[in-house]
Formats: sequence, C-alpha cells, structure tokens
Amino acid sequence: MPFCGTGYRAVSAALMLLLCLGTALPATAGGEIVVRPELVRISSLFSGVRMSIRGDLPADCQAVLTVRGKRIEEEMMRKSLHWDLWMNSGEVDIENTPLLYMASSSDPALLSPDAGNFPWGYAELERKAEFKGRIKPVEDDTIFREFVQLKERDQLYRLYPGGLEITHAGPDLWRAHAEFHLPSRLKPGTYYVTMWIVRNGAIIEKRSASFNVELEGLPAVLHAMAQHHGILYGLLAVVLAGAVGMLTGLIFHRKGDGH
Amino acid sequence: MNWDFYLPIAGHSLNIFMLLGLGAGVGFLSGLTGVGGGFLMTPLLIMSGIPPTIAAASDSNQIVAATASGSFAHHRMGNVDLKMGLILLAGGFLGGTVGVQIIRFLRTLGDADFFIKITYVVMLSLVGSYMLVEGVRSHIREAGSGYPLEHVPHPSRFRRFISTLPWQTHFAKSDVTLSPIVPFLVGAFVGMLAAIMGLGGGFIMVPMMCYVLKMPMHVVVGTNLFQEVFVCANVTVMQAATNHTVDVMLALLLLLGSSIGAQLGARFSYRLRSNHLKILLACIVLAVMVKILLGLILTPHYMLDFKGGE
Repeated sequence: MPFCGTGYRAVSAALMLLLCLGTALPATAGGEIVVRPELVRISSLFSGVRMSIRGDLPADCQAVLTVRGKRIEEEMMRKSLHWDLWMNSGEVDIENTPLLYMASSSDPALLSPDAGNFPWGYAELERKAEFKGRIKPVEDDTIFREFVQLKERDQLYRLYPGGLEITHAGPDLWRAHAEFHLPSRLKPGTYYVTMWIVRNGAIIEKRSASFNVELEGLPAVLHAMAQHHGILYGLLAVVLAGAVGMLTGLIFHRKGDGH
Repeated sequence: MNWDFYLPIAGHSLNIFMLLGLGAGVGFLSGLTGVGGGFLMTPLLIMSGIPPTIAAASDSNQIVAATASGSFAHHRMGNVDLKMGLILLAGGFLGGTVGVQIIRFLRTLGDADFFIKITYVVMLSLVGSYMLVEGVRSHIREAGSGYPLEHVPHPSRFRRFISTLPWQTHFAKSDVTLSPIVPFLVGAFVGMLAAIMGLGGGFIMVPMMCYVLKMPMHVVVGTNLFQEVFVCANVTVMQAATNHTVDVMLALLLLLGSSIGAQLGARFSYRLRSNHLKILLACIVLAVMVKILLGLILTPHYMLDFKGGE
C-alpha cells in the first residue's frame, strides 16, 4: 500500500534524525551551562556584577548565549511638536519585552541584523514586542529602535557579536565562555540564560539555566519598608532629615561661638 | 576602592562623593539665597540617571534637612519671622490643595505636561527678570545716593490698597504692618503654583515676600526656609505613602552635603548686600528658565522616553 510505504519512510527519517541528534548530544558533555555567580546579592556597596557563563559544545559548532530578565510592560512617553514646542504628546506601552537583554555569539554574523529568523537578537525581541498607545503601525520599527537605544544607554540591553570565546576542551569538544557586566540597575528576580548551539546555520541544541538577583542588608530592609509601610517610611525619612539638619545647625552654631 | 552606593528605591548605584558634592553645592545656594533648591537639585539628579519621580520626591526629603539646618541658623541670627511664616504656611496648604486639583483636572484633559512647562517658563522669566532689574537698579541708586532704596518713601496704588485691608497687624521681626490676609493670599498663590510645578516654591516665595510683603531680605531668607521645612516634610510623607518614590539613602547622602552647604551659605549671606543676593538669585532663576526653554525649543535626541522622563 502506497500509504504504508510513505508512513514507513517518514518514521525511518524521524528515527535517523533522532539517531543523529543522539550521537551529537553525548559530545556536549551533559549539556550544562555553568553560570557564576549563581546568586547575585545587592548590598549597599553594589555597583554591578560580572557574570561568567560557560558551556561545552561539539567541535565545529558555533554558539549564541543570551541573558534575559523577565518580560515586562514598559511605559513610555513620545514627544512631538506642540505649538512649535517639544512636548510629551502621548503614552506608548511596549509589552512583552525583557527587563534586561544581553547576547553574545562566537560568530559575529549570528548577531548581525540580517542574520535571519533566529530566536535571539533585537529582531526577535521586536517580533515578540506588542505596541499600544498613540502610534501608527508604520512607527513600530522607529519606536522599537529608540526603545533599544534607551535601554542600551542604561546598559540594560547589549549585543556582543563575536564576544563568545571558543577554546578546545578535549577531543571533539569545544568550550564557549562569555563574561557580561550586569549594571547596578539590575532588578531583583530570576534571570534566564540560554545557549543555542548552531551547526551549518541550523540550531541543533538549546540549553537553559538561570540565576537569581536578591536585595540584602540595608537595601532589602528599606525597600520592603518603603513598599509595605509607606507612611512610617515617610515619617522616618522626615525625622531623619530634620535631625541631621538640626544637628548640623547645632554643630555649626557651636563652632561659630568658638570664634 | 568602590565608592558607589546602592540606592534601594532608585534601583541603582551612584558615586558617594558626587552625591555629597551635589548636596553641598545646592545647599550652599539654599542657605545663601533662602530658596530650597528643588528647582536646581531635581534636574541635576535626573541628569545623574535618577528616575524623575524618585528625584523629585527624594529631593523634597533632603530639602527638609537643608531648610531645617538653614532656618535654624537664621533663627539664631534673628532672621525668622515666626508669625509671618505660620500665616504663609496656612495659605500654602490651602493653595497646595487647589493646585493638586488643577493638575488632576489637566491630566484628564491630557494637557498637564504642557501647562506645567509653560508655567515654569513664564514664572521663572517673570520672577528672574523682575528681580534682576530691581536688584541692578537698587544697586546703582545705592551706589549713587549712599542710602538703601528701601528707605525711599514711594507708596504705590497697590501699597495704598493693602493698607486699607482689615486687621492691620505689626510683624515686629519683619518691621512691616499689614493685614494677615495679604501673607495668607501670598502663601496660597505660591502653594498653588508649587503644587502645579511640583516644587517647594521658594524661588517664587522669596520675591513675593520681598516685593509684595516688603520684608527685609535677610528675614525673607530665614522665614522662607522655616516655612519650607513644613511644606517639604508634608510632600515627603505624601510621596512615600502614595507613590513609594522617596529614596531615603539618596536623600541622606544629599542632605549630609546640603546641610553643611546651607550653613556655609547662611553665613556667607550675611556678608553679602541685599541687592547682591537679589541679583544672584535672579541669575540662578533665569539660568534654569533658559535651560527649560532650550529643552522645549531644541529637537530632542530621543523622541521616546521612559514615562516620567520629564
């Protein structure tokens, strides 16, 4: 029966593909991504953190590594001329964009704007982003470009084409390593690390890991108090400010007496 | 050595010495001229990368220290008219409530941003130009005649009208006699504008006290600082309770610098002549006005900004 023959061929092809993938997987040494540090603590002297991320991949492959924060809704204001003066003229909400986005590739071409329909890079973010507000559909691209520029200004978005370093880790095994400086604007929460392994322009494997960012010490106490006990926090702020002001006044007055 | 300090509400780190220096500089001007310095500090904080809503709210918090420190210094020197200050404060609370309602109404129409900016430019232009012209004119006359302009008797129609108002009261510290209705209305007017513009309103209050209430400049400085302590304390608590935008660590670092700067400014103000203080304040006000005006006229670098970016 012709139908049976077609089905047999399809199943055979699928089995062959699985076999191919099966032979590829052991070469990646378990497919782990090592993220250091695994927990980022934001204390009073926090000024950003250098993340070190590495993973093994089969020889003759390329890799792309991304670090992404949770997807949020960004509230933006757009400017336009109003009676010949530049004013905020309306709100634009950009939904489903990550709080932080960094990507690094072993081959610079994989992060170039015309790299193709890969699940990384700014083009992928734009495909997933949703725009709401006083905009025309033709403006989506312009608005997204400016949005990325603003994020890059705050060091929250960055692409490193060719920034993923490849070294030999053994026979038929390569190691990819990248370092990202995450700015102090990092928000507490979970961040997701993804590594795509690419061979001949096709993705053969995707691996994931994550790390957490937490407030600790004084920042944690103050943040919790400001969020949950606003009036008490406000009164404390006023009393503290008044006391420091009066104390300085007193100190200076005494110094003045001494002269 | 890492000199960055994490600000838990602003959500990022800034250099400690930059914040202390910023506080000291603005505090010095505050003690010198009697204005709270909000119209200077908030834009400077925004330029440093602090989100505008947090910059404005935390600035109100630090002004409490600068004004408490400055008014304490002026009180010791006998420059605070408590009676006048309390009447201005009462008017300020009423005006502030009206101003908040006006802004709420304009926000529903979508014109609040435009209205606020235009109010800034108009008020700063009027106040700055008037003070500059008046200060320079007084300086020239004093230099020519040898006695201060304030002693030249020249009652205007407005002043004659003020003298006909009921409950004429003598304010000993300011050495003026007028109806309490006048400082109450002045307080209400400034409070309303301050609420619209989101500031303590010192740069409007000081000229009003000077030219409408005819208070001597050194009492104006001390009394304005006294009433601003309460205005800014109220704003701080309201912002903390409703918007959670007060960063106490940011305010503390700024106020450590500003309270010392305010003391030095208050001492230095005594060495300056009244007209020189007026000219200095006028120049600062006009410089801020030009900065805002350029922001309105010049094509912005980005056509998009995060909400609250103004």
